[in-house]
Amino acid sequence: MNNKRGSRGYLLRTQLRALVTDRGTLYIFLAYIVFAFGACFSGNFRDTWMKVINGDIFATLTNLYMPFFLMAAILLVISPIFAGDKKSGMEEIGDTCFYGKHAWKVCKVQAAFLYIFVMCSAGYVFTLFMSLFSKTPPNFTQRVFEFGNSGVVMTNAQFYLFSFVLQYIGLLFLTSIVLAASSKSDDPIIPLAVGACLCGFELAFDFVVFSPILWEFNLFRLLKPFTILVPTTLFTSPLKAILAVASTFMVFTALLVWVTLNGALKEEPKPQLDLAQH
Amino acid sequence: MQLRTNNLTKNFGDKCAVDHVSLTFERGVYGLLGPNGAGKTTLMRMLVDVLPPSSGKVTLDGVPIKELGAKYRDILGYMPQEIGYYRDFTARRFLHYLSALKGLDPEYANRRIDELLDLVGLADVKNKRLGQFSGGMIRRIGIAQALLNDPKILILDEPTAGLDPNERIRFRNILSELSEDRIVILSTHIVSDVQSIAGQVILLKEGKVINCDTTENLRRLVEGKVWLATVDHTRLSQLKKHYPIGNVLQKDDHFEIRIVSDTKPLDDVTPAEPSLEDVFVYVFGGEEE
Amino acid sequence: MNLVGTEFKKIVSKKYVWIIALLVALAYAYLILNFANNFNVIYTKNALQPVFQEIMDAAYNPQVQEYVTKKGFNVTFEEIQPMISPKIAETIEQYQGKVYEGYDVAKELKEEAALRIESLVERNVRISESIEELENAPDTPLNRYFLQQYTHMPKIEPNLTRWDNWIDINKTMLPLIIAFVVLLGISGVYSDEYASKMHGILLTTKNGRSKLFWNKLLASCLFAAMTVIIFQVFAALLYTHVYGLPFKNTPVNSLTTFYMMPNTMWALQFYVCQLIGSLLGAIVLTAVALCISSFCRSSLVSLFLSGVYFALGTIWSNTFEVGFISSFASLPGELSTFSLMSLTDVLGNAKVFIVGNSAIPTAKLTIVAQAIIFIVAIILNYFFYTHKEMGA
Repeated sequence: MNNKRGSRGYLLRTQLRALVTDRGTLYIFLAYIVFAFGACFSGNFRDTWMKVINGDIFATLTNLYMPFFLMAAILLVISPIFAGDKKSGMEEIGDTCFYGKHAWKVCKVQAAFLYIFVMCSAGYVFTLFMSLFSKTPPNFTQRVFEFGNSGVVMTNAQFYLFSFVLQYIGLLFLTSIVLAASSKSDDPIIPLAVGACLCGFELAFDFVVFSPILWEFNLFRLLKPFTILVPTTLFTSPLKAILAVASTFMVFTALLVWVTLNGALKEEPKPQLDLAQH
Repeated sequence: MQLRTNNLTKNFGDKCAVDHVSLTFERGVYGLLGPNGAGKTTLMRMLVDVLPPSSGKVTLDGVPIKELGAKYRDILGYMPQEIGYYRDFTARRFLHYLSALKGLDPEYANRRIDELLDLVGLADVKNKRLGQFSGGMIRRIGIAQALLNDPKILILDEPTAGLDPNERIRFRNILSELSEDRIVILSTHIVSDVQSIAGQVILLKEGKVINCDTTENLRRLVEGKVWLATVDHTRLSQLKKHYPIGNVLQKDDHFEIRIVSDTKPLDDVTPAEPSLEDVFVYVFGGEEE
Repeated sequence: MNLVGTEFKKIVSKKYVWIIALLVALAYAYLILNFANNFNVIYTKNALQPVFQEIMDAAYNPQVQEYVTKKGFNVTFEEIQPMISPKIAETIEQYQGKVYEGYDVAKELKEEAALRIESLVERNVRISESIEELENAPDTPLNRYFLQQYTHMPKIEPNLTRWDNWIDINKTMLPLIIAFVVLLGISGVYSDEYASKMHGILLTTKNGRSKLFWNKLLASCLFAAMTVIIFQVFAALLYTHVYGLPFKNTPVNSLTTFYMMPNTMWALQFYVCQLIGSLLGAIVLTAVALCISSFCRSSLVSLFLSGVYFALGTIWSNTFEVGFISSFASLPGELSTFSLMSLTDVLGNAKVFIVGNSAIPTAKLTIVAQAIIFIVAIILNYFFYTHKEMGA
């Protein structure tokens, strides 16, 4: 029997599939569908529960509400990625496999980041379709967003793309925190609690300006991208704000990934094996 | 192919779980026998490199397994005592996931999974969620996943616990067939499993290797030391204080017992043919302990 | 062996609960201490508290009332200075020339004093007008309720105490923090037994069913109570350090937060109600969390679902905060566990729900609803625990 070698890509796809088909993903996506449906088709629902930005449902949903659902997905689905395996004993089996230990860890991190990309993209695509059939469909060529003194001029389509990129950077940061906490604990409840704490306090710092730096370098500046385009006391230019905030979070993300992997990149399984000849 | 442990030691605080164990494994089936807390699971976990030793090393053909890393794991199949699994995965999906971890080609994995599910008798429940499986079914999945990558070194911790007699026989037959060109190490409390298939039996007590020999040679250790007796309850209680007692069979108002003793314990006893279980009792103590 | 003690120890021995509680407490302290050096905290009310009575007398001076009303409730200190006690001006004079964080202290205090007086006059005038309107209005349950509340209100006082801040303790942040820590500790009470496969053994022991169930409930409630007490004391100490103790009791209707609300309570009474509400709410949340825990095999899912339950109540409550009449749309939020732990909306705003010919205080409905939720939760909890299938 030929022991044919499978690729790292196959493991990555399998890991990603495990995340995407997780029950938590399904429930959160269903909850978002219900919410988006109410937002797009019920005036009552919109008036009661939402603050609409410039009459643009698509921008409102993607900028103000969808990030919360994505954060919930990260907390529920990503938290057990390491800690759950330790708790269930799966880690012991996995660590005795060819792609176990370091390769598996790296793969999980990659799969988590890809998962967020998939979820974010799916959210945008789904919201787009919903809002296209709503009473106020988005107009990509128009320029609905005028950002006061900032001088920023972009069409709606450019703004949506800009939002996607910034939100993805923000969600990567949250994912990396949850991954780091999950890799250092043996109960999935701990990374969930850590992630929830972070979200809670970032939200508090976002609502009330306790400190200009904490308000400026806030996760919700990335998750609500339209806020970063308004000049502030710290950053008079939105471009400076975007560069400073995004790069800070990316540096922290890289640091947290390093903490998670913690030397995992030293050993990489090589495709040619002598021992398989025995 | 030679798997060796050189003065392998593992300490957990003050307790020494594995104490300077040096063993050599070549092709064949090795049974690891010992009472609870003997260090069997700890030794196995060091052999599969999920637990770092306090001192000593494990080598494969002279190369430390830590250095070999993924190369070693590529030829390794491990079934732990407590099998971790994902409750929401079906049997098939779980094995697919593990085949990806074991670096198997998807097409090959598909064929292999079907074969193994057939082999362990779970083909008709392959699309059932693992959360709905019984304990014995989970153990069979554990066996299947250990065999996925056709390993050259198979390490099984309590593989037959929870299996019914038919399944145990089937499992023994599988192992016997596999052992021809493999190293198979299994730990168990079920002496009959080891008796029928193990070429070598390693007796482990308090982290130390007490003996390592064929089942035949080990039986010879207790030849002329196994006695059959028929006693009442009071006599039995007295005997327990002085001799290791093996099997105790209650019959009406008396007990038929096996005593393992260097000298004849009573006048009215008959000598019996020794079994591996008697060796276990002799070395580790029976009800006396 | 004491079962309650053992169960309690199982909950409190989880290190991560205390580590996260400590982190949360530190972050909370950082948020509150940030206000310590604000101008409004250092001066404003503190500086004018020695002339509290004089400001109150000024606001009830008919001459001042007439003048302020004529000016549309917008006067300067200099305009009313001849009509009020000179002690107020003398007190403010002490701060002449002082500047803090760019603020001219004396100037700000004068504005504050004028604001307190005009605000008090405005409230009294508005309430008198409301009473007059209500006396001539049709006899409806709502009108009857408002008339009764407004005519039985304590005499409004100048808002120079710190009760606005103290009542704010339990408005949103502290209930969320307490709920978070309680859920962290409680979510695994049953689901951990399932994960470790202990529940099969427990259910077959003599005391493993109803007795263990009550002991777990008691131990969990003790943990929740301990959490509430620790955080309430911690918050009180923080607020004492930052704002100082409220130097006297004052009617709730004097506070900025409850402007024109038909509330007849005193602030201390209200604060004590909030403390009791916080405790009761935490106990109800405990029961719900235990119920969810007994249903879920995973403490992660249990924590998440319990969190969603509490969060939904919080969001709903904060969405329909405005006004003093409860509607069917706003009731789910007002009857939520968060609402009981906060009481700022339902009790502070003296909300009512009109049923037929009666105006029922929403706070009473909240307590009844939470009591029902508590009972249903513990019944379901017992059912789920004793009917949980044993897994592999």
